[in-house]
Amino acid sequence: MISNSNWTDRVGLGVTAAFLLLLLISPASAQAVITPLQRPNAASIIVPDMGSFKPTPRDARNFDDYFYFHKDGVSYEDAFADLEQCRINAAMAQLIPDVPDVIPVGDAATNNTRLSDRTFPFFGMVGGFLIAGAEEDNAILTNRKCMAYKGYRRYGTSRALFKQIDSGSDAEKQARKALIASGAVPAIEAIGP
Amino acid sequence: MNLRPWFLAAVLLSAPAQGQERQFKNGEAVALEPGLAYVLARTFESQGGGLAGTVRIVPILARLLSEEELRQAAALRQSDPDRWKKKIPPNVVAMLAEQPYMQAGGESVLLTAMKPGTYILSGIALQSWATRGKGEMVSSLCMGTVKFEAKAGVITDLGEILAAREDQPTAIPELADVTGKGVLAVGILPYAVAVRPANASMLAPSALVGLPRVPANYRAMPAYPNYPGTHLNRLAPVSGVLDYDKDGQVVDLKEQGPHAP
Repeated sequence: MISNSNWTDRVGLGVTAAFLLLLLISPASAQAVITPLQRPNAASIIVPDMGSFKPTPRDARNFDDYFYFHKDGVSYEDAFADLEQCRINAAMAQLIPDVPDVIPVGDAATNNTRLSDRTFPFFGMVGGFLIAGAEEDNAILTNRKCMAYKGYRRYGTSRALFKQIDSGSDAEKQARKALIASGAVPAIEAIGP
Repeated sequence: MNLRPWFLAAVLLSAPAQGQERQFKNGEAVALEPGLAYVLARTFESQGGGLAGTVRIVPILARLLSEEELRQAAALRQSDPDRWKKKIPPNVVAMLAEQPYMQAGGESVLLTAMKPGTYILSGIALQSWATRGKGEMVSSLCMGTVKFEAKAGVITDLGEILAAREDQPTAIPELADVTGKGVLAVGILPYAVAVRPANASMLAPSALVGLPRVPANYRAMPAYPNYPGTHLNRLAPVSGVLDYDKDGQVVDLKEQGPHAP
């Protein structure tokens, strides 16, 4: 979802302070290399029929949860590469990042430590669940911004169609999204980035 | 009373540690050391969100690692995934806005000594009463930025580093097209960033007159993974230096020549 500035203004500083406290009291976790996804053969991927989708008002209310990307003229291979770059950037996103000591341009991409990877002695499971949800939203928004920079437009879909797109292994999901991104121009209007 | 230990301690604490920067403050005398590079930048105060009040822009620079340094980093990463970033020498330089060399109105002139090399402008952090240390990094220019050489014994003038909240319109012309729209972010506010290369009309401390100072020779820097993990962003186009094509790829205008699109 898009968080507006009012939400951020009200909550941002308090969340920041709470998270910084949590950082002080909880241990860090490993920063593993993000494994690149190998591009599957396009012929092996089944893509749902996106062209017959007629959005209902209920669908439209959930377009920030159920959506896909499309760009005119892009190939399947390039779309897969773009999705991969943005997936990696999203995986590296953090909620409250400090200034790092090292920015190893040229090295492999690694997961940054996420707050939800830590244990929360004061806030317990509920706090961890809320933080994990915020981190997931942050990753999705990072992915959307990344794809928008690459010239993709975003289109809403239904929950049922999205479930079909988002099925199988990570590589299969990404391949299906790349096939849709490089496929027929959607008959519906694009939504915001 | 023997003051020698105190004097030595003061000297050691103020000298740049290996791989770390030193910030010059309050117009102090500057004698350029032949083994260090110096960067000069100007930033401006702005209003942060919520209770943050006035925030100061901290340019975040990163020295590009050599192939040997990258090999060492990869080896350490494999042997100690939890702490490898603590074991390799830092390559990030934060030009701390709360320690300006000079201030005039809301403008701060920052002067920092650091290891020579090729640096990128990797983003900005914000310092305010609510932040600690180097501040919170609010923008990572991993989708496109500029790089420059910082040579030893010379002050490299980075010009003005401009930043504006993405959720509000701004009077900064370079950022007008990318601000005041919806914000794709959770938590801390993202900032859009621009660079205005150095020119003779920019604020310059008189104490630095006579010292060798050159404008940064900016070149376009392609996208890289979002190592800092903060809000993904890209530097606003820089005339004659940096632009983007319709696919978001960085266009090196200097390589393409003066007639490039």
